[in-house]
Amino acid sequence: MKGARVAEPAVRSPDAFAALYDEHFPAIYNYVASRLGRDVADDVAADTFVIALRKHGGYDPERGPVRPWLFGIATRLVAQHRRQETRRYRALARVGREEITDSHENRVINWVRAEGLQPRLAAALAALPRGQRDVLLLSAVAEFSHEEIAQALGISYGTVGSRLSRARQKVRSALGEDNDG
Amino acid sequence: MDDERMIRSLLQEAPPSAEVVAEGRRRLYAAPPRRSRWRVPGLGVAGLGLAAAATAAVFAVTTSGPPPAPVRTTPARPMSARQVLLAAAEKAASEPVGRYWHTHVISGQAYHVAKGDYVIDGARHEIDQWTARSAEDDDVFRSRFAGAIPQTAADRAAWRRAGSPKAWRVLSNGQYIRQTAAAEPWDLVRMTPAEKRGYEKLVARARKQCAGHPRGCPQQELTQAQREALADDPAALRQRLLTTSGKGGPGNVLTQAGDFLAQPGSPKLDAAVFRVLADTPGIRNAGSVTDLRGRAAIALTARSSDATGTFDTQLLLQPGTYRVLGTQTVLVARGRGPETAGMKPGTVYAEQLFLEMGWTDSAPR
Repeated sequence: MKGARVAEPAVRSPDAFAALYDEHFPAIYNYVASRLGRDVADDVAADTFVIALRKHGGYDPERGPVRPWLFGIATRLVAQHRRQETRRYRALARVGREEITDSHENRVINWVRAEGLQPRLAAALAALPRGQRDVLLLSAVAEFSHEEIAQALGISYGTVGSRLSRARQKVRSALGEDNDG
Repeated sequence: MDDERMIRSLLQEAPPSAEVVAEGRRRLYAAPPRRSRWRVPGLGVAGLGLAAAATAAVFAVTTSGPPPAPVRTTPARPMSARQVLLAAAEKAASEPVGRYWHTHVISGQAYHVAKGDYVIDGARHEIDQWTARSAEDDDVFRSRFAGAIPQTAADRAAWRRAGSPKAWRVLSNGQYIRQTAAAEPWDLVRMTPAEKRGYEKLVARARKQCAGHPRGCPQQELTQAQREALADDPAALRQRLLTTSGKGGPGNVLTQAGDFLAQPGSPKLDAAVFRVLADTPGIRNAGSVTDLRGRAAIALTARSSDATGTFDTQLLLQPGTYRVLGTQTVLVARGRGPETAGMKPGTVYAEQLFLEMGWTDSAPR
């Protein structure tokens, strides 16, 4: 991890920050849109970078790698929209993807829906405590390592592991229940 | 079964539109930061807008009773840079080859005129050339300096207010140079098959002499056969576009690709260039722009910064056909130094616009 830190450039000038924005905006957007939907993601993803620049004065390599730092800010913003997030999962559970997806040409081919698993999966996500959901979605959607999740959320490596295994267990048992029934 | 992959697949949404990306970037430097329209009520954030209230109403309906028809106001999203480039690769692969490769290009550069405060497009060099596919046909090369002109309508208005001067003293690399509105007459050079063979011999001899003494010899251009071989070797093609681009970076790759596509090549090679670009990170579709010739273009864009400022390098493609219209560098934010002094964001700092590029069966006699 030390090596990765050294490689990170100092990003304090506006120009360099614009480059950082260009590089990381799509991934932040994808993460936020996955949790809150596209409409809300437009604002929340943009706010993530405004806050990163304004409140934190840009990126400082001393803070650690840039990606966990940005996703940490995004996760805290997502937390302010908890009701929206729960609504999204409930809607996914109830109506499936077809109804809440706006654009046919952009829709990602979705085998979860095809297999009829989405109601159980979405309901399980909605039921997770926030701490476990943050860890699970940083791992599943942002494809973060344990180390990166720990940095993003400011929690210990061990906590990441225990939250992740508990969250996964709940998701699996939710899927299993429905398979039996 | 991989539960994380299932979750990712369930929640996956389409990537952000170019407008959303541009708006987010704009907000970074807009002061003060705009309050989000989507704050949840009760968090003590002032300025909860009507939009948030309206959304809450929509979702209130959703939670009771059957789901309503989706409420959407987003217009159709433009294609991503990658989608554009893959479409361009497909089009290029089906272009018919002709007897001559014809390019007509005007390149120019922005200069700020202090007296009257406007920008002229100067150092405008125009090249109109036909390169024969066969060694038995003539090559034709016409060129001229086209004369400087005010860059935009606003620049033209400022130029008129300043008395419509026909010559300017402008700063270039820290020195004053003269630019004039008058175009030079065309210069025509024709190379006959015999002259072409003589030139090839000269080049071959120079190569031999240089083989033992790499220093002091100019960098060799690829032969046509070497270029064509790159169509089947994407890694080597990428390397070529990167190494010839100096410092590298997606902006330079776009300019290099523009230059590369302006050389005669098979449709297959052109398609390969587009595919390499499609796999190059850092290129985005900035949407529709109008070039200095007034043509609509899709602008595939990469941003870069140095001490002189932040610039967007753009490869301009014709909507629908994806033919190359040119490359340009647009000023995003000024930096230090005299190069961009007086120029506003949005100024086309340098450009190379193709009025013609493609195969044809006729050349001027």
